[in-house]
Amino acid sequence: MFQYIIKRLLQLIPIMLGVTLLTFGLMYLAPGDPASMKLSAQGVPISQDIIEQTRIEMGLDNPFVLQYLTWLRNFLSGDMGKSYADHLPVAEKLMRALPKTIMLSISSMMVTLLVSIPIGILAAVKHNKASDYLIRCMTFIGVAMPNFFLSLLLIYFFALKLNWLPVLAEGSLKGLILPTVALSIAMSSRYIRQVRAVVLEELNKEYVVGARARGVKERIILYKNVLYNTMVTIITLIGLSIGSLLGGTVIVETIFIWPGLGKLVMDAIGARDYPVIQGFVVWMTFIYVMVNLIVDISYRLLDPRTYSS
Amino acid sequence: MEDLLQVKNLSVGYGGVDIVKDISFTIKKGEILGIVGESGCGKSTLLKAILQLTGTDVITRKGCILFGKTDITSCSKEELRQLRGTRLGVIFQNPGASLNPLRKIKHQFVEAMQSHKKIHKKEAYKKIVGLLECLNLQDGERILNSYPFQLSGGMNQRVAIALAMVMEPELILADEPTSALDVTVQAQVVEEILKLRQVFGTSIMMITHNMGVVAKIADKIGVMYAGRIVEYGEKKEILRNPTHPYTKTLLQAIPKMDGKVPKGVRGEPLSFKDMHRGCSFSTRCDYSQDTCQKKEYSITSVKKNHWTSCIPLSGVSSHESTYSRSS
Repeated sequence: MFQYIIKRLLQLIPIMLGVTLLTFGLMYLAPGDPASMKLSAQGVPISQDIIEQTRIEMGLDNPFVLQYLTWLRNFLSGDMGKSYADHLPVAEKLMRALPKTIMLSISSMMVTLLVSIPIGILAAVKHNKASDYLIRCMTFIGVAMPNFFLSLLLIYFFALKLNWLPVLAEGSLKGLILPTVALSIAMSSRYIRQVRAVVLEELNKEYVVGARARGVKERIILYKNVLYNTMVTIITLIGLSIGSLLGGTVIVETIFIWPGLGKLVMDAIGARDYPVIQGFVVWMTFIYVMVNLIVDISYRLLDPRTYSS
Repeated sequence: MEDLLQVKNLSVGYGGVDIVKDISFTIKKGEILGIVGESGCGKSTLLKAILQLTGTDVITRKGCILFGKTDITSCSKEELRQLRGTRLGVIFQNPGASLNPLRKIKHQFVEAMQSHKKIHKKEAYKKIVGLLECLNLQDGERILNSYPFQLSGGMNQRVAIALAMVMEPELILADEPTSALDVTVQAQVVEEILKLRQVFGTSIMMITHNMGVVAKIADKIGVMYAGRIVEYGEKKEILRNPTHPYTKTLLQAIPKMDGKVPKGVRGEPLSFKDMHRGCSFSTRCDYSQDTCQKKEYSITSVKKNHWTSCIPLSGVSSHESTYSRSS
């Protein structure tokens, strides 16, 4: 197991290198001259001399490979460059937004799991009965409802009409509630359907018939056998969601002015703030490969067949 | 001997189609009944009906299944659950499929035991090791600490047999327990099943299409065709003196070591969905007569404890039998 983890971590190195090269290359190819963009972002009047000077300062006259290696070296030593817009180090900007995003990710993931696993199981057990239809109908609405619309509805009712919660979250704990709910409703709806489907599939397996034929209590079949066996699928789902949540949820964060990564990168894209975007993409990649690794490790822990064969 | 299981005029189906039609038979204490017939004749449906398993979509339409003194068809879900495992055990065809692939075998044993009586894990474990030893599974500890995929098919089937025997049920229903196994392992498993009767006095209903297995194991044989028992009797009687043409062709179809290709049953079995008048085997029967197309299913006695549903060959004049089908 330990060896496996080491091996997987070593495999991450070429992946990360490839992604950084690609990101850097895309930025290099992107239209517009970074030097003039940087200058215009700072409001410096542009003359050819100043541009040339800035280009040399930024190392833009060097060949691509050299530029990449310089960037990579700085990057590895924690220097992700400075934002064009406000001159703050990119690393600092990311680190400031990150806790907010993690907070929102964890809270909405927890709510989603707490809601969707029991309800999904219920729908599967009551397969094709009234409660199953009701649950499926609700989840259908939940999946179909666009996130931004739901967010606006929530703000309208709970903040404006009922006055229970603040309109603008601004990173406070109370302000966490509405964005969490907005995210969880859509996610839970998807999860409930998925949980229902995997539990149903599992319930139709022969070992369930076998356990019933042995007179094993239905409760034990469900919780100790079926639920455990569906965990592999559910964990894959969680992995995917965590990945995208930690990348920041652009729409919800923007609507609730939640100062997370999603909002940060939206602003950066608007301002063509390349260093911030680069930093963000590398972070996203890192999160995805790490989550993938954790999911793979959990497969091995959950399913004995994967490591013995 | 006492009757353990009495099936009376049982009809079972899925959705709108009847599969098992009007079946009656009895299994006495310590008796082994072999049910033979080709694939799709309703053997497994019969077994599911006796188990009354939920989630299999099997609907009992008519008749009753008396197990001891309880009528299984009118039991509540909880009563059925308590019955299964403690008094009724099942062995399935696919070795290992009845075991949860992701759980160690010992947990599955303990869970089956604890579902029926209050027993501490350690005590249960001890009993289980004892049971495995009793069934010739020597390295019980290793087996119990394995996952099903770590054992061979034959071993899994033997584990499944032991698992069915955990509460020492009075009746074991075996659904083609040997068909998915190697021939060498088949013999071993058959021996094991026979041992159940020797050691525990268990009655067994064995469903199979392997005549060899039936010849080895059964006391009585019921031949099923298109959802009905077409011939029933003592094993020796059936094997030596078969009366129904279907039984005869089945016996002819057994491959022998003489290099000749065995003769199969010609044609295809009727679809259960089609309504059919008369004897359902008449379309494939070499002895079919006009009367076969008209007569309703009825049985005629050939000898004591031997009856058939075929008129032309039974040698006895056709009459609506008053003779108890279940004896």
